[in-house]
Amino acid sequence: MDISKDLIAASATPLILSILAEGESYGYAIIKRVATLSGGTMQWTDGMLYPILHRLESQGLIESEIRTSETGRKRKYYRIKQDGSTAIAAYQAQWQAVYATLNKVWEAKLCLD
Amino acid sequence: MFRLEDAIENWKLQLNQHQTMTTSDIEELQIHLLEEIDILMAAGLNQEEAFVIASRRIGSPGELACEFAKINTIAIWKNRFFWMIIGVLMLQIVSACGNFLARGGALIGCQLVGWNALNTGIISAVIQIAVLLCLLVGFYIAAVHFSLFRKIPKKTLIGIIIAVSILSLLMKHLAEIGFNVLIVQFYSVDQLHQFSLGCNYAAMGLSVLWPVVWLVLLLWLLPGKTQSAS
Repeated sequence: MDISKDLIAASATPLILSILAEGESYGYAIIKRVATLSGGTMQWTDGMLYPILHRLESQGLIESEIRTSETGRKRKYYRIKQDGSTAIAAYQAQWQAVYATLNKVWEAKLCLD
Repeated sequence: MFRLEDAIENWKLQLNQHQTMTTSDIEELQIHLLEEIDILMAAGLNQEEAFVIASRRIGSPGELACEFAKINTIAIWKNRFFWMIIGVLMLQIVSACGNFLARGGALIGCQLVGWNALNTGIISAVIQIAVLLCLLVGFYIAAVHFSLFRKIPKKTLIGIIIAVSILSLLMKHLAEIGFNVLIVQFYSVDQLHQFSLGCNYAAMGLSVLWPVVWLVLLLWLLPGKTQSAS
């Protein structure tokens, strides 16, 4: 099962914020984490992650720092800020509301069947 | 034979072509690409295979450029203004050179060749028109080989264009002063009138040519069917 592009786009921001809430990370690792969490059902085009990260940074939800990794390669690490954590709570409430609404209507349909 | 460095340079050039990504955006994507290539090669793929798959996973340059365009609006406009200002300065340089050559030509004409005042005026203005035509050809060449301009570091380009701009203005004004000093010594008042009449005749040609030059240029710059209108 592949998840539609629209849904992937809509869920990208809360997903990235929540992954960063687990601890600081960098682009490549975030992509891998999404793949693991979704069991491969959320297929991102890797490069699309970066414009979202940059937007979140300019909105002040996350911050970044360029450091050299243990392999000697320069990496840009992203970290969540206080506003980002607050935003996660708001996203959580919204997504749960959507999920609950869909569930209710689907359950009603099951009862009718 | 496949060389990874060349392939990556080429890939970066493609990303840069759209002018919607900053250098640091491209650098970050490159780091991502290299990480992916390392992992794929550790899994047993050769350099070429790893590059093909990694660059495919990261997304096509067109798609990426489109996404980055949405967040880099200020940077994109700054870049556009940069090239507009470079264009304005180039125009100023060409017009200063045109003036310089026109005055120089007039001086040589009346001094060495011994043209009468009317002819000198005409020749002087015709030189200016010719320089304008060269400008059109110059613009065309610059646009066709625009990638060459982009390869010059922006700071170097600023240095060159400001220096040439100042130099050409100085040349123009020196020629103007020299011309005015000399011409009153050699021409009578009547001849001066003839000279300016000659200039005016030729300037009529210029006023027809000027809009045509810009019309051709603008029509040529209109996005064609093969180009995207964005």
